[in-house]
Amino acid sequence: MPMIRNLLQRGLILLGIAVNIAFLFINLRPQRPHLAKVRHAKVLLRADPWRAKWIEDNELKDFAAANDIELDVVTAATFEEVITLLEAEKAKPSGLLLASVDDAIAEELRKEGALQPIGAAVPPEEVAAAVADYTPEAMQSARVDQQVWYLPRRAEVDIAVYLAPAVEDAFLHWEEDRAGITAALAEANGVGLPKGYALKKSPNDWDAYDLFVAAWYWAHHPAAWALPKDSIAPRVALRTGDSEDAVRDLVASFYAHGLTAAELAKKDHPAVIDALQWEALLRRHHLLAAACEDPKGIDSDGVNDLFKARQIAWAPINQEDSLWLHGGSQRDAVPGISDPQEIGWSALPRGSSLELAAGAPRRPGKSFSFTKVQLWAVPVHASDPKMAFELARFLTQRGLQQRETEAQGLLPIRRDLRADYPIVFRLAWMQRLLDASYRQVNHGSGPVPPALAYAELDVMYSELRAHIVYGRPATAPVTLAAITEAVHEVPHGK
Amino acid sequence: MANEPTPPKRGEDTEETKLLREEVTRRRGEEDARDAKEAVAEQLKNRVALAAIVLTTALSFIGNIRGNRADAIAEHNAASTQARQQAAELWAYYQTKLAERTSLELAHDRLRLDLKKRGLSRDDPSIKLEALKLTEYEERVHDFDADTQQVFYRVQDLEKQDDVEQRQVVEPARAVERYELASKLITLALILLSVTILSTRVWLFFAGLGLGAVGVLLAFDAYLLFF
Repeated sequence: MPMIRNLLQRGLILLGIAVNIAFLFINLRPQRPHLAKVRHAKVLLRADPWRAKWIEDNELKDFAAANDIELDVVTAATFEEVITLLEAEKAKPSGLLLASVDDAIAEELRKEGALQPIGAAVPPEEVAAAVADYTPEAMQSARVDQQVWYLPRRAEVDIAVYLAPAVEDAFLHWEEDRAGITAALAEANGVGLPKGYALKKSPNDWDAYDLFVAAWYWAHHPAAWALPKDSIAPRVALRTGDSEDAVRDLVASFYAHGLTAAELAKKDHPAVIDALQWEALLRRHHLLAAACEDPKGIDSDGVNDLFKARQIAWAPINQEDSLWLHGGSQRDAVPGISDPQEIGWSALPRGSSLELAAGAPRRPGKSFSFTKVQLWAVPVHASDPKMAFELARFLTQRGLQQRETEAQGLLPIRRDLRADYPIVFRLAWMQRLLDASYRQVNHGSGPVPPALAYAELDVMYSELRAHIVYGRPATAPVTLAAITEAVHEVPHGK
Repeated sequence: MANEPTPPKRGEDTEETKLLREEVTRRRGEEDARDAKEAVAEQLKNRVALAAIVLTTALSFIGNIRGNRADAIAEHNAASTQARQQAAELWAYYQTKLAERTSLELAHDRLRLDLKKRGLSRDDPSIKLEALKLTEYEERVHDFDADTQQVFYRVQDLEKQDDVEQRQVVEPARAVERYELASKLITLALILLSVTILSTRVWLFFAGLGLGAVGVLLAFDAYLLFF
């Protein structure tokens, strides 16, 4: 016994000395040693190489250093590719920790079992604290049956971009074309312009009539603000074809004319017919850029390219593309349009039926745009869901979200940034962009209805437009009756 | 004679001797017990002294490390404040530039509106001076845009630096918090050890030792930040 006691005593003394020697060494280098084995994980982003590199350099590296983890970025050019990669990850896990998905594909992936709830491995109070940081609209997309499945990453809403000198030009001179405009409209609605019509000064106040009037003027006069200088060409472009953006624009235009989510499948709804009638009228008079009539349509990249080349003066656009168009606020950003100070942003025009009653549109609408929320999702076989949650929180912290907004263009999903955006984003043009975006959110916006993809209504409507607007001869009548009849003539399923 | 006490036989103890012997034995027993107690107290004292030396040395090292981490926090905070301050100053400069630009733009617009009112185009030979001024205003506005863009880039760099510095405070702050708690626990352990010497209670020694051990472990966690 005494021997054991002696040994124990000596052991404790030695331990005490060892502890102090250890502290002595710690004193020499008190920074935390990275003793933990460096783990490897992947983050899936839907981004082009420039944006992915920016995220890697400015956001992921900091997190990786602090958490003894090596993060590799996997990029996908489209969300379809994101679906494919997440399905492959489900079948054969490759170490994907976190993935960026959008609200349109998240549900599909969830139902397929490719994802797991982001807050499952985290105490509920941490999830509640996270939820409190994001805007209610963003969280709406992040919840499924009251359970937090995702964390919001960024949001986008389509607005309108225009060249200020072009709007000025139209406002000053459109009356020169009043007769032509009236005749063109009368052909469609039997009357012409609404009673006492005048083109509104600000594109924020425009409705479908104003867009038509401006488009008419621009398409018939040499434009000093366009390239080639003083050329005459259609100056409005809409996204057409069956791309995701094009279909979303089309359905949003139905909502702007009065369609509701419950009536989404009614292809002969007056709102659908009104929206198609306007587009058919624009096409009939060659007021849309020629590329819009391409059988494959024109996607947002095509429209943005036209705008950047100063060939058009008005188009729908989102925040990310707006930064690309402008040239952004980063030293190494791709140069944007010449004279970017001439760009203006506004809410989309209000819907309004071509048909008039007592000199006013019979079915007045509203300005509407779908909000698109990108989310951080955790793949079902992610090895460390808790770390995935922490990474998503890290990436959406205030400072990083602010810098990402300035660098890449997005609608912040944090409550504090939304409340403080006039203070935080101080560049005049960026304020104008965000002002227009929030104006659009307030005027009319909402999530993309899931039924659009599930019930294949997106296919139905893109085919309907292709048939009604671009499939008929350009000279085909564009009266309400003619459009209604054409809609009914479209074979079932189209 | 018959009543006289019988003298003890040789080899037999008298009552008195017995008592004396018992007394001696008792005293010897007491002395042994005292010696044993003193030996235990002495041993306890030695152990306490040893433990106290180990813990005091550890406490001193921990104090130094905590100081270093606190200095790191102060450095990052200072760098962050400096970056924020510089960014604010540059923003003020940016605003001044912007105000100048706005005044130029107003002059440009006024001239343009005036020409419009008079129905004159910019190429009209009768308004050569106005056309020259318009071009000058446009060029200067363009230059202002380029200049302010440079200022903005610098502001962005500084704001990023501020953000990064603030984030770098997090880890040392976590460490300092743990080192502080460890210091408190070790101090408490030293107090218990001091009381042990006065009261010679062994359980107090073990309580002190246990508390000290927890403090030391916490200090190691402050370094490694496992928890």
